[in-house]
Amino acid sequence: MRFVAPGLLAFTVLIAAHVVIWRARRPAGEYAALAVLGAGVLAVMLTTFRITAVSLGSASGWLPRSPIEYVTAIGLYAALFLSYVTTYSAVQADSPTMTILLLIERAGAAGCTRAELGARLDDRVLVVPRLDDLVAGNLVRLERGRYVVTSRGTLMIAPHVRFRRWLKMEKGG
Amino acid sequence: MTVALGLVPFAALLACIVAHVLVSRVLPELPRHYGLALGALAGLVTLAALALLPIGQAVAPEDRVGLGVAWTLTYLSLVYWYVFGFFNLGESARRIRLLVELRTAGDRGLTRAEILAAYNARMIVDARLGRLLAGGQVVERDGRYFIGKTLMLCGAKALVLLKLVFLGAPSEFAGRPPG
Repeated sequence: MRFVAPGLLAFTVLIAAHVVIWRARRPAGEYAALAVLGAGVLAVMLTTFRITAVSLGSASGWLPRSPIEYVTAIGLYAALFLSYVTTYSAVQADSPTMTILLLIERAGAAGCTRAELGARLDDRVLVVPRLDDLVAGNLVRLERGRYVVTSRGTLMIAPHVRFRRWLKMEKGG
Repeated sequence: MTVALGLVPFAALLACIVAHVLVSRVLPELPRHYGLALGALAGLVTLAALALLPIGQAVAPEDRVGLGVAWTLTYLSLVYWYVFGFFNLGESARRIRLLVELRTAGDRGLTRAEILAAYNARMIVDARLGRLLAGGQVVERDGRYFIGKTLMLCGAKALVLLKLVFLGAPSEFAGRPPG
């Protein structure tokens, strides 16, 4: 219990705080804000665990006490946070695969054709918003009608390009 | 020793990634999800080995089950991040692909028309339909597409639910025209 519960509890608090804050006011730099929130919740929860464990003494039950319990709780929280951010990115932007499935399901027994899918999923829906995201995130700059990758964008793409090369896989997308 | 114990699930993730890279290089014809599954399995074996070896014996016997559960949960979360948050970004993320195209163009950059000639909605839909048909999530009859296996559709519906919770709308385009 003392190895698992603290990390799970801190993660639950993170989700609750995320929902409440984002519904009240969605920040402009969402991922940076989420990282700050993640670190903040962890710091608050670790302090709370420490204070509560000291005040409750031997009755502290599932609260972490030894260094290994704290390290394990932080590791679990960090891993859950990474998987949570991954899931949230699919929430933030519509996934083409999921949209295709929902459109086909909506067509029901009549099904739908490739042309019908294409009419709903054009460049304005699938490409332009993501291009705008890159400009808004300073990963790409727009100069006299031309999109140019910034040093930040190059830095971000480098591990993916190198990793695809290691895997001997072609460019994705 | 405390820090070393905390790093066990991360060491298992490293083993998973190394195994995935090796399998992808040695068996390029293998379907990609099999390569990922083999990598995840290699990581799990590493986790079990580290838990059974002296590193796992360093903790008190009554703590071993709890620590094992925490390590397994941590490892599974890390694998989820690796598959969907890292590997899949290079595999299918539109932003990454756009950055790759723009990086190739260098300082000159590309106009919107040039970008759309290299990477466009038709290519995106074709690639995804191909994957959905290959995986059986979608089936084709007389040139029309129908839902096949429903697991991924359930995932899509769960995402719509999460969009409603976080964004208050079922889609990023709800209430405003795309583009």
